[in-house]
Amino acid sequence: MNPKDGPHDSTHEAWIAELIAGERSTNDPSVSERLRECATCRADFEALRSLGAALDADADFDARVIEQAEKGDIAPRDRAAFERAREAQLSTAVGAPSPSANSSATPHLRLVWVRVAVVAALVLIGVWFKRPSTGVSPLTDGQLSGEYVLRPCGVIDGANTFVIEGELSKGWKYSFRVCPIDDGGNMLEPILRSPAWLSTPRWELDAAQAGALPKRFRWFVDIQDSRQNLVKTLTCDVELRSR
Amino acid sequence: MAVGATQSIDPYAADLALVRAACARERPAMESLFERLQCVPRIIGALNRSLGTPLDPEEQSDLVQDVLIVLWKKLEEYQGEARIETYAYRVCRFELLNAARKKRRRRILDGGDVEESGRAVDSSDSGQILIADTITRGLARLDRDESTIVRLKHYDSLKFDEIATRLGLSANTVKTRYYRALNRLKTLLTEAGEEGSA
Repeated sequence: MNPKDGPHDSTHEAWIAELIAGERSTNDPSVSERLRECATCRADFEALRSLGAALDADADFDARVIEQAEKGDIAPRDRAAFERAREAQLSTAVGAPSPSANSSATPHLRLVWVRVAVVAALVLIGVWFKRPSTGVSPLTDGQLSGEYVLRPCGVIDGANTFVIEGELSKGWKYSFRVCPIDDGGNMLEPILRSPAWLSTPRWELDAAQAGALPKRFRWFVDIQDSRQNLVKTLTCDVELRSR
Repeated sequence: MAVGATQSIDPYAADLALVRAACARERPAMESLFERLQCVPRIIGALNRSLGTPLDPEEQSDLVQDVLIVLWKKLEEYQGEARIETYAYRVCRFELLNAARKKRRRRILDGGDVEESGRAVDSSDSGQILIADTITRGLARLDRDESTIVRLKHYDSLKFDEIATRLGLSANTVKTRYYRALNRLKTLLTEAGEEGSA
């Protein structure tokens, strides 16, 4: 087939594609001849060549970013955001935590976890013996400080009730959990969870649960829409001053 | 298995299997997937820097969380055409450019940072961010098959034969689809340019 007279069908398209993608060289004499003699091929090539070059340049940009990403550190704030999202999704997992997850934990992390569990148990025992003889007494030492990590974020109207305020849609459900923060600022595994997806943005702790709250903790609220999609996870860091 | 035989594992198939298990909410798969998705905050940090820091640190960390939520919602659509990290990169890039564009628009609507000519002044309004944004939006508007071929060609640097093998198509079909995709992309970019300058 003489290219300059031939139909500009799929064969032509494949030929131009090879040229734009660099799989056929314009230095090839047959290519330069065809471009010289066929106005359609020439126009097509010219029209798409700059787009091909722009895509290559954009791909180079991506390659540079990926190289930087591989070398770069994660900002603490970004790491916290990642952990929040991770926690939120894993809370919806089917089945118990995997053995691999436990075995991959470092001995140091396991030691910290054991210590936290022991401290939590001691606090619980202490609260049990100190409890008033009648009724459930909410803690009165819930003077809160700390940073709202996300906006809009909830407020805690006492150290025994977690409430979210904001633009909340009807039909949303809420799941709460509390993760201690150790002295090094590391967030640990959750020690308290709300029973299930709650239909109101409020979770009230009983006295034992309130007593188990550590000095510093981060509380999470996962919000799920009516189709069981995760809408957002809100968090708030809290420090109980009297602990 | 015979002694000395080797078993080759297709990493794309392995990634697809992992994602499907994670979609089924299998905890080990979800944990493994999150290990892989630790690339997300790194990518967003690097992208934000490379594009002239259009987002401040707080917006950046919000975006990390939003991207992870988007990624989980989109997992059902993942078909193993790219490695998980590559897929995550594309979502990060798309979402970051979106967030930067919205922020720029907000500033303009608020009346701030506008020169006498009416053009928005923004330190992040660099040529790179505009090019990246235009191409990203153009690729997003192509059919899935078309954009996959263009991406594999230019961003993964595969030859047409390799793309054909990956997608189970003939090389000629890949070439013609690539050609048509470029033409469509060119039209879309031209239209976007005209809208932008109008």
